[in-house]
Amino acid sequence: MKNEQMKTNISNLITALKAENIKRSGTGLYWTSAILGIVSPLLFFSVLVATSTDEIKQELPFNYYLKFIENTLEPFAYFFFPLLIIITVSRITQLDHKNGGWQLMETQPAFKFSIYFSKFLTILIANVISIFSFIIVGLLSAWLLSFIITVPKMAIMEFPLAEIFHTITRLFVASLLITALQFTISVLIPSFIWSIIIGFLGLLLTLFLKPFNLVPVWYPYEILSKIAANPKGSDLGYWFTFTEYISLTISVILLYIGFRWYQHKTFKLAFIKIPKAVGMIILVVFGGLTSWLLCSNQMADHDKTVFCGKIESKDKFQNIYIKDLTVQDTIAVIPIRNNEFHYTFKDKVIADNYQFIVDGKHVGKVFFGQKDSIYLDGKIAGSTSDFKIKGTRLAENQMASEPKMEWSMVSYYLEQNINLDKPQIIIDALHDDWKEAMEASNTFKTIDNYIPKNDYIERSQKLITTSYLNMWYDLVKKRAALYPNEKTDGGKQIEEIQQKLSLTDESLLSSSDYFDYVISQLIAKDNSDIDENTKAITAISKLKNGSFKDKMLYWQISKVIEEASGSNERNQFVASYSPLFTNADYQRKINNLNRVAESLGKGKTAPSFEATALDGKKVTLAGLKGKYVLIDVWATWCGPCRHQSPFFEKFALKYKKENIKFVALSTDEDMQKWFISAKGKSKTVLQWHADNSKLFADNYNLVGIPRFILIDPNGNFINAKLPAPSEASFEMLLRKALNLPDEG
Amino acid sequence: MSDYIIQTESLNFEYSKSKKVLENISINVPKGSIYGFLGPNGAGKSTTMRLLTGIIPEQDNAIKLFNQPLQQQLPFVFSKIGSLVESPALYLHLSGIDNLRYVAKLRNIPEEKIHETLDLVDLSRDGKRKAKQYSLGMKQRLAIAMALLSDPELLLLDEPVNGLDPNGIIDIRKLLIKLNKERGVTIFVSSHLLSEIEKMCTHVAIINKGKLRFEGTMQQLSKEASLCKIQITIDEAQKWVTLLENSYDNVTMVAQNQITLNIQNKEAIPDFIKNLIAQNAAIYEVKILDGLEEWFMTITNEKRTNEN
Repeated sequence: MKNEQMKTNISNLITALKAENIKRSGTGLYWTSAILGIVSPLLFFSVLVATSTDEIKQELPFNYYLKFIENTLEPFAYFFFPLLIIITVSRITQLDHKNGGWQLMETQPAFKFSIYFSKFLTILIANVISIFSFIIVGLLSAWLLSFIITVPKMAIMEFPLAEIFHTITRLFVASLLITALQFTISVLIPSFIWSIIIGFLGLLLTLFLKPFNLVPVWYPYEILSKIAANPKGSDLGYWFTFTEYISLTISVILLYIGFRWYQHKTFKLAFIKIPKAVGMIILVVFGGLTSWLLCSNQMADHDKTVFCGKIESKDKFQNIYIKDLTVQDTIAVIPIRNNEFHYTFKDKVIADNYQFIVDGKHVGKVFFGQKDSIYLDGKIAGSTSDFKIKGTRLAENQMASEPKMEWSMVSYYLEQNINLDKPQIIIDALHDDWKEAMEASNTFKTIDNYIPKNDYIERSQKLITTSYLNMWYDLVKKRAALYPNEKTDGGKQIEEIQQKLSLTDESLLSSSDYFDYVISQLIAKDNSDIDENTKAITAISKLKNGSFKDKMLYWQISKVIEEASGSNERNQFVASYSPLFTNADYQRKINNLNRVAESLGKGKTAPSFEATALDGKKVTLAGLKGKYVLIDVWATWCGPCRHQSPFFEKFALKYKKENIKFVALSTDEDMQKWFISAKGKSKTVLQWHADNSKLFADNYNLVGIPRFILIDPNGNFINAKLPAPSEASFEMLLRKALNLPDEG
Repeated sequence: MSDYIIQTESLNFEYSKSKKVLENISINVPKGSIYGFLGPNGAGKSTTMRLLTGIIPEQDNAIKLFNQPLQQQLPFVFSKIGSLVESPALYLHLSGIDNLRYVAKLRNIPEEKIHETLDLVDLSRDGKRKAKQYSLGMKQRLAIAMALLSDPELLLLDEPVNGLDPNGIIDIRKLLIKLNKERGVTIFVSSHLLSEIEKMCTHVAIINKGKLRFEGTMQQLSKEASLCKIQITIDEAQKWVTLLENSYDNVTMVAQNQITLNIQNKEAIPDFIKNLIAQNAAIYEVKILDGLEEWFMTITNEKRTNEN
């Protein structure tokens, strides 16, 4: 009997669906779906055709087709697809609102269920058509494009069937919620304008609220766009992300409510007068599921501290070094076998940011601590690398790599020296901004709804507090200089902030901000007329012996090494304070730092190096003796280098007649790339390629490029770290070295 | 009892406590009848129609169709019912044929029926044109075709000739009579114009302000209506009104020298005149207000008469 009933229901629905199809014909509804689906890939296609360059960029291997689709996903999922849904739903419901169709349908032998859901299914078919036309035209455009532009060498041209299918299903499920919501509204409100206004407002609100982090995760008009933001989906290997499941569960609830309402015409009749067990079950089950999905998760601790992972690459790698960021202590050397590695820490690991370095070349940052299991998913191709950190600290490491908005009202006041005479305004702003930042630090979620563990949140909040307190001491200092007779009192507000931060938290010492804060506290009462570095070191030397003091000392001495204006001052400082270390390792490290700084100091001999010129001849630095030499260290893959190089060439032309040679020294791995790129550059600049870039990097303490080095005719350093040529001081220093008078 | 196709038993409907739209409407529509449902605009005709079709959910189980409570039969009872509620529900972007195909699909009717039905309403030549190009009469006929498509046992038509020209009205009337005669279709048709209905209905119900005023066959209606009321043209009307009021019902002065009044029956008229002349009345004309119209106006305009 039940079965019979079911069969009748289904065949009734199918009949209604077929009838709906007759009604749909001639409206061009499916065509609209197809057209709005192909806009985004076609736009992207034409942009690529118009702007394509043959520039070679170092990239990781990627699937050519998939990348094209992922690039076109953004306009589609953010705008065109939701727009289409709003329009389709409105049109299909208007068909009956306008023509009295609801009454006509309700006087036919069709269940209201069939009427309601045949229309909903028709909309879903339109959605599917749109998704498929988007994908198919996307793939076709990508294929066509491969004949028009040069496909990068590392592109994989395989057809990504599984990934495409994954994207299609995700788009479909994520579109359910906005479809169900618009459908409910459009059926209940006969005027088309309201459903359109609500839909557009919903879409626009996403744009307005997103920058303020005010969009709730279940927000119907935003769930689709998350697919464009995360085209690969779940980090944990689930088919759908939690927001996509939420789309599904809320849709069921909405469809139930919408249908009941439609069936009984009035809200009162539908939900108050005739309560139904089925309805209660649906609401409880799917409401429960939704709230369960909305609950954030935290990763459980692992029983050991593990660091493991794999590297996808054509090359083979030997070791991963894990270093702490404060003193560059190597805490583990992990051997890599067949590009896989697994390591269990025996000693305790303080939860902190660490650096990992693959074979001295590929560097990344990772946060972990005791009882964490970190899985490093790496991809390396040539000099480019990409590392994903998974495992128990997934959320923490993702949060750390998120771009942060660092701007605050207070930093603006302080930079521009506004309101310094009215400290209360700044204090109020500081307190508000701090509060806001503290709250914002608690909102990060991964795509699978995992949030960072509490220790990480606390740590982030401490660091936020640190940076705000540093701003506060900036204010105090500025006011002390401007208004020596006035006291700057922070009152309760600053006290509240200060209470959040201890002055002896060793785990925060990997942050220079915290170091600055502790120092400012230590020397706050010191009114003697000496420079701050001396005040600081005096205060530090009075601390209790131990690793906190060692780390503070290390920070302070390395800061002085960096900042010292002359060799004498530096050596003296190091000599007098390095014996204060309890741990001899720190002392050794400081001496090393000092030695490197010494070797790059003014008047020291610049280490020699060999290189290859464009014509293939071997050249050396020594070969340029008797002339000033200005070196620009760069590489083809380095964006900032490309930005600086025109400025550099401009000066090469300008000072052509002087006794100076301009050298562009490439550190590219691939000589071919250097050759192609360097050939097109100015002939005034000597184009060299370093034969042993690793050795060069070590000798010249090359931390980053571009780097500009000035050497005198005797082969001694004038300046091992010039400012960038785009800055005004670059030319001033250059003219000074060449003994030329200041210009105008 | 099986002769009734539609029965309502004290049908009530209200949008809110203070606003009753229908009060105690009990109607009985015999099988094979053409049942006219009459009432001025706003009397509750459309509401009744919507309740009968289940478009508005019923507030209690007062409606029986085919001797079964309506609620239990929804929606499949519509396999036996064709209906046209208020303005014709058509999909203007579709052709006439496609409109019928849509209904045929929903009702599982073979497509051959479509042309037959188009013939019936005389739209064969315009079947391929889009409905938005149709004239009002054609739209109305198409809507009726959609209601007729499934050879229904019962036709529910709400103001089917509303807005049509006299020829259109006659055509539709002929069509309905033909359907009733040839196929035995029971027709329930509502209207606010008595003249539309009296020419074809076998049964009539009259509703005003949510209340049923009359239900019965046409004969009963004529009997009750036409023989009661006369109009006399007489001098000194005002005086006669006061005199006549004592012995007759509904004495009204309709013009300066005209009085209408209710009298027991036709046969009483000669005595009535003799009596007046005996009292020296100057009578110019005595007229039986024949036809239903006058009577219909009387009941439906009750409010106005009461106020006078």
